[in-house]
Amino acid sequence: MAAPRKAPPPSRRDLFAIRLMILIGIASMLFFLYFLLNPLQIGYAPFYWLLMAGIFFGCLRVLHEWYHYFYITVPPEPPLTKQFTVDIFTTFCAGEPYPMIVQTLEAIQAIRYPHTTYLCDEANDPYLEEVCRRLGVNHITRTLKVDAKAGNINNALKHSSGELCVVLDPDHVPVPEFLDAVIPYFADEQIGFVQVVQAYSNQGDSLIARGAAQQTFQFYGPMMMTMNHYGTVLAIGANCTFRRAALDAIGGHAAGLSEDMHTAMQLHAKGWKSVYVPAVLTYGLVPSTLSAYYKQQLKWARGTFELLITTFPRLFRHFTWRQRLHYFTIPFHYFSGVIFLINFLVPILSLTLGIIPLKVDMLSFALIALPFLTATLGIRHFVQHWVMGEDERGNHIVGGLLLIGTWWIYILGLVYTLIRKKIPYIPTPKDDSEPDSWRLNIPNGIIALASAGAIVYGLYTDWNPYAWVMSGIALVNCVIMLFNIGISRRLHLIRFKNNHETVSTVLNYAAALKLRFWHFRHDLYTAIRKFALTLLICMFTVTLLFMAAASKLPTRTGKPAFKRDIFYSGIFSPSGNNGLTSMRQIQDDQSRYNCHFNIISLYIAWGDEERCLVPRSLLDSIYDNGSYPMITWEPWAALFKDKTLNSDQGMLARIASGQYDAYLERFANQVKELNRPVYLRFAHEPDNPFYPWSASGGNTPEAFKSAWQYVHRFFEQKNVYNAVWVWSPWKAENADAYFPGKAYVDWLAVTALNYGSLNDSSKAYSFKELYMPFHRLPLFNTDIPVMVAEAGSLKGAGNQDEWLDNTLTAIEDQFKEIKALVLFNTAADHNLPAGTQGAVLNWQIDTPGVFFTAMAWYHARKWHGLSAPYHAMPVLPSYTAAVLPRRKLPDNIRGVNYEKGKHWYRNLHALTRRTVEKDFADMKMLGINTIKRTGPGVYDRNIRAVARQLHMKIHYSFPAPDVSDLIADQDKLSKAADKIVATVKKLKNDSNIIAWNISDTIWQQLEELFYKPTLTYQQAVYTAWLRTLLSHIRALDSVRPITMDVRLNSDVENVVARLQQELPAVSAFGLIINGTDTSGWGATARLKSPWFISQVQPELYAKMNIRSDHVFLTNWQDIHDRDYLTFDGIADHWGRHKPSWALVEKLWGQRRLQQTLSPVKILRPAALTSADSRLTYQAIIDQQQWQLASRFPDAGIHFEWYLVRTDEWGNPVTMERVGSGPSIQLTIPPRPSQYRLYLVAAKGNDVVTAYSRLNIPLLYKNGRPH
Amino acid sequence: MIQRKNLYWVFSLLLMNCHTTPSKSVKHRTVYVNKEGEQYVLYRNGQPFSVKGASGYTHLEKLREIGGNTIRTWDTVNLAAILDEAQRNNLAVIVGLSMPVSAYLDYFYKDTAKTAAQFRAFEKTVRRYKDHPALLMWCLGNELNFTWKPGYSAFYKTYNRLLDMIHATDTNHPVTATMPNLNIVQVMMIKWKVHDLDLISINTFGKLELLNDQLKWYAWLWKGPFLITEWGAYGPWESERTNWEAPIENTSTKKAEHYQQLYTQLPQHNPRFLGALVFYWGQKLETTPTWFSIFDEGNASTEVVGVIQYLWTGKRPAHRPPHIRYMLLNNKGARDNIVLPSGEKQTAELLLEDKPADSIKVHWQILQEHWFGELQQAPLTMLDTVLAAGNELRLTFKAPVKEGPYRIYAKVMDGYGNFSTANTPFYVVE
Repeated sequence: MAAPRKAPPPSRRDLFAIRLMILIGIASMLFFLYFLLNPLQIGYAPFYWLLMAGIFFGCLRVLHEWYHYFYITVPPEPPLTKQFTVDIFTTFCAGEPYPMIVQTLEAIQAIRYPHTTYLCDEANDPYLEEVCRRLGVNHITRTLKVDAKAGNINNALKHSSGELCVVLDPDHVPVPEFLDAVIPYFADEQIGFVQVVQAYSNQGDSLIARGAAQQTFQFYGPMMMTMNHYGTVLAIGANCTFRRAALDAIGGHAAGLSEDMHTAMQLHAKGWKSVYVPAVLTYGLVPSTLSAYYKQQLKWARGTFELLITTFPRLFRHFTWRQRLHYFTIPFHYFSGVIFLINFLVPILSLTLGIIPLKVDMLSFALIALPFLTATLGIRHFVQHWVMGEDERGNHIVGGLLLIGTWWIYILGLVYTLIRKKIPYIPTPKDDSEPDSWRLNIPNGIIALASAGAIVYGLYTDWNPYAWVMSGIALVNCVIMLFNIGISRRLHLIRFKNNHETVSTVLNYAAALKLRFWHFRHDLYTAIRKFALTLLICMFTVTLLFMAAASKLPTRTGKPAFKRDIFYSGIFSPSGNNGLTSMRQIQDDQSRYNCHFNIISLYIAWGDEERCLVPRSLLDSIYDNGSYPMITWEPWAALFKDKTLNSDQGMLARIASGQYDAYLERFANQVKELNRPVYLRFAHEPDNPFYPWSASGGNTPEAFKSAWQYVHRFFEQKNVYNAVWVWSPWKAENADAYFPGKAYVDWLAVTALNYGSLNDSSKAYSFKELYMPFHRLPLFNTDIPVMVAEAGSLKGAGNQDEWLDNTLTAIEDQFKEIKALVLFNTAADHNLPAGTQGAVLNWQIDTPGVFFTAMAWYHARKWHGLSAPYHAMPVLPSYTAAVLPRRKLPDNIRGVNYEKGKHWYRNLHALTRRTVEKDFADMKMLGINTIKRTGPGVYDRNIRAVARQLHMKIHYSFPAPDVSDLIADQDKLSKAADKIVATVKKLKNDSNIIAWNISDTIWQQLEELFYKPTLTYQQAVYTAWLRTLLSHIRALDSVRPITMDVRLNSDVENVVARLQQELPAVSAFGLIINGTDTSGWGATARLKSPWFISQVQPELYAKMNIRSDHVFLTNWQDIHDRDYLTFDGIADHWGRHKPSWALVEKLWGQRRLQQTLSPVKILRPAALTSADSRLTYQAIIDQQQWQLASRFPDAGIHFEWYLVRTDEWGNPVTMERVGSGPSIQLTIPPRPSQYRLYLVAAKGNDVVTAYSRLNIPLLYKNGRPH
Repeated sequence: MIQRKNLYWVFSLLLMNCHTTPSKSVKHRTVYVNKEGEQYVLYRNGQPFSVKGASGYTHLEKLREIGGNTIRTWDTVNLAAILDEAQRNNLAVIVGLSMPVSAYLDYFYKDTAKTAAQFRAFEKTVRRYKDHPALLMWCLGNELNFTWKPGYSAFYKTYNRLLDMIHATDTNHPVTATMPNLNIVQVMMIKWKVHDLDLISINTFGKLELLNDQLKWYAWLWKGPFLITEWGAYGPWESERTNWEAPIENTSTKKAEHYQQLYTQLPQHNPRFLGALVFYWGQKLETTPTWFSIFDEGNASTEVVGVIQYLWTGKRPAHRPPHIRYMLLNNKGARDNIVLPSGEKQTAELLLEDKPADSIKVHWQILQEHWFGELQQAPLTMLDTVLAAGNELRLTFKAPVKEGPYRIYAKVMDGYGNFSTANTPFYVVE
């Protein structure tokens, strides 16, 4: 047995590291406690406080440890300057094994420093008397046996005279250098005793021995080293060297069950100093059976509690402050039994009663707990620098488990102390010959059984995340108890193992594996020790940053949609004068100049001839080129054979009257058959007198608009959705008059042709000059994209290259609304400016390379929509089917959206069974018979169980996947579909579910993200996905209707018709009415599909003159996620009743209760809300007129003020209580515009609320009155 | 180290006390301050000159008419015309050179480009006007806050450079600097940190009544000459406020009484007193358009003009404007914290002391409360709120629609170029 080296003293760096870690640790602890103490989170108060008591105790223990690590020191070893006479005592009691005592005596005699040895033999054993004689040891015995071990030693003291005396336990075998290491310290006259490390040689005997030893490693290392610094070294029964004078001063070795600690207390009280030598100089034995261990622990628990209540108060005034703290806290180690019991009982009770002690959002909890946990472990590992060797390093799990298993022994010790029951002093038995009594396991067995039972019962009745956590804790407790039972039955286990070969093999293999990993584990510990500080700092900073930054991230609904920016380059490049672009030429240009065109322009006139129809093969080759065709569709009349049709006069009005329907139908069908998007630029430049569809042909702007709308509707009615409508006025001043309406136009287009000297003014115009009048129109500043449908500079009208280059620069710098540019690259333009002589105009560019390269470069920096260039345009999924037989929703749905606790891990609300029961019972009272809830979710089981019990119907919703680019993210779509199908399969037998619902309005939202034609593709992918999914659901479930939500707006009629056409499985549409926006409410009368209201605020619903039998109110309760808040519930965040509660009750419920509270508002100060200023806000209340609430102190109204932080789009993110009472003084936070004040006036269970910005509106915007 | 610093403080204080007017002759200067025994005398063109005038740069003829001799500007906008006009009216001018307050360290004083530009501009101004016969003295900055706080050396450095430049460029006129009320710490800082300021100027309103005592208390620290560059009605910061922090303004009748009372508090008999300027000779927007304005936007004047005339000359004007007792809104006063529902009809009423003459006219209007003065934007006039056609002492009006604080104003004109004002703040809740 090699003596482990004595620990080196900590360096300055070590000390700095440990102290910094402790400070960070304390900060983490405070952070953790601050979070836990948030009163919002108290669940069931008694359980909460029990739990908190445990946590506080744990924190105090950790602090006690850290207090000791803060001043970790190794005492300097003085040189040997003075000789002492030394007596060494060891004791013997009847029943202790002979070999042990003989070995000890032999080792004592081998100690080099001159000394006299005494065996204090309580048994007066003749054999030992003989041994003593042989070894030259003085054999002492006594007849008057008082004070147990202490009395025994005191008796020996009388028979000896050495200046120093060593008390060695009979099981402790000293090394020969023992006295050489200890004696020098006594040179200082004030030293009363010197204690050395207590190390063990029999840790390997059993897990109990290992555990018991592990419990001491940290203590005999770093803790005692610091106690040395603090002057609070604890004398441990064994291996302690006393100065006789000191013992004499206190009347001999003190008595008691913890005679060692008692002696130290007495000596310290008398002012004697103590030294701890962190060196292993003896090897002792540690209890290796449970009964021995329990006996030892009971003795110590009882003994130290006794010292606390009797000796401590008596000696209190003689101690230094550190000694007072020390002797007060040490006994509390044994108080942990009570805390362990609490930790067993809380999960058991909370599972069986279905009550949760603490409501937290689990994400924050994990985040907050992490630094504290890291600090505790990091510091513990770090100080293992100063334990007595590598063997003692590690997590000491067995020791911890054994400690927990000893809970009832400690409680027993406490109880014995309180009832003053005496227990006899028996030396701790050290050998493992006796088997443990099975009765010792009864308390642990009870806890194990109760925990297991609670888990099964709790999870069966109430399936929620809190129950999981509680079950987890109960399971850990159960396993710990079983472990303790297991180690006490080790003999049985060994027998069992030996009788079963497989078990034996597996266990041996496991043991071998563990051994193999010894080095790995210890390398890991070394690494942790080395990097503990870095690790802790990182963890702490990252957590802080995350907590601070996470709340600044956009919320899930917050971020407004921005369209994907695009830029399309296009060209019109005919080879002849048929108005069609030559694809051969395009391909030549593309490969020669390494560019690509997204739009290929062609011109088609109306008429009966073949060339008046869609040139299918050309269009196919355009699609194959990865481009979109743009058809400028010119309503010339001349090519119609029919006499009634071939007059240009008043053509547009005749189109609108249906005269050209035959041609339209033919053309529309051909467009539809393309199955890919096509730009349709119908009747361009209707204000250009050159064309007969202008005023020159007897047409008016009104006629143009109605013709446009007619054609548009005609296509829609034929279900032709792949046309992208391009509206192209000639002059900016006419644009407003000719605009047919947003609903009918997908793109705005302009022509920008520089005629140079042929212009009226005979001067050249730059693109900027040509386009600027359009740019100034409000119409060109909406989000409708703009296309330059014809751009070019006439040959000879100045420098072409420069003109085109300037055009691109102007678009880039100034005209962000322009999303496409089509080059007018024809040599044969017959459209001459008025009064111009000549035949044709040549717009072809001379040096295409320069411009094509520039355009390619410009275009490459933007997203170009759909496919990569040079890939063929994909075909849209084509689909035609009749609406499937509709399934009916139940009559008279009075519903509410129930989204409480949806994001369970970041939410304060826990849907325990009790909570759901209460909510549903309340709903019943209000007359609500159905909930609409998004699933699947963790609370489904509870909700369905309670719904069954209380007869609540469920409209089960599925969210669509959160995908921003459906084409790129097909994977996510199919995964989402699988999940939905699996849920339907699982739930379809639940008779409380009345229908399935697709709750998102992605189809509509896509319009905010994409321009057509990309939008066409995105929407097609979405509907195709839904079509497959819905038919799946319909096949799985043969009864229930499927519904789909849409936003109610002015376009709702078209949206519903279109979706119904593409999704025949939808039986009804749910209309979402946002806020107070009722636009489109009139359109509901014209809806051809059945519909219901999927979301509406109760106030709005009560005001609406149209009733629906199927209504879901917006939200049952305000949502309170960690980074997301709503205020749209019938109940507030704490479940109190808002005015809408009474409103719903009045509408639907049985009772007719009036809301008793008058409305409140926030009176804001007339002052600038600059950061850090303190302003006063007052509640005002509507008592016939608005009055300060402070004038009605007797109204019994309680005011609560919350400061709500919003994201940069004004969506509430978090809130914090800032005061109560009718007025508050608020310190204005930085960036005040991102905050709101939320005022709740409560009386009983009723509340009224007010929500307001911090500042008064300025009535100015951008420097102008607003 | 710290102790030595403290010693330095004490030493500096002692030095300051020993400081007296420089011994070299100043009598050749156009304007200078001379100490004659305990008495300080301001000399202008060789004659003692007691400043009796108004802070402001308009209505100069009127000022001359009622016996004033001095005006004051805050900046150099239109300076040439003002000086010429003053000269025509035989008035002296204290010319203000406008500077940012000392707290604008990062935005201004630490920006050497900006301070250099300012230096050049001021130098040009001083050179250009230093020989103008109307010039009385320069006032370098208004209420800049000569703070004791550390970190302001950039400000003091800039200030001293400018002061040295003015003294070097124009040896004929003194330079002064103003502070709100008598702040002995700031006086000490000027003494300690600022080179050779010729006299100190004080702007004081409600605290004027303390001034005599303060001068006495602090005489052991400071005995220099001073001028009162602004005195007048109680400021918004000295007034009662509504619950939404809107200051409550007195009627012009009440303000005229205050001017008369406050005038008696001026330290006329203090040997260091060089004169006083009444505030504000003109029309300006400060919290309200009427708070300090002695005139309206035209030539009409409040009762204050008559009071000042009486105080300076002992003669009362021929016509007194109508005397307002108070104003009521729905029978409530400003102190009742009037909160009105948005867009609803209300009544306001003005009560006069005497039976109104037939010639009076009443002008009503509603403005936004001007709590955002720092934003350099004027309060909006709420159109479409005043329903009845004016000229009545009683008004029916519609509360503004948008939530927030407003103020209803009444102006009573007597037909002789005099007017009286009153206003009441109220708060609209949507």
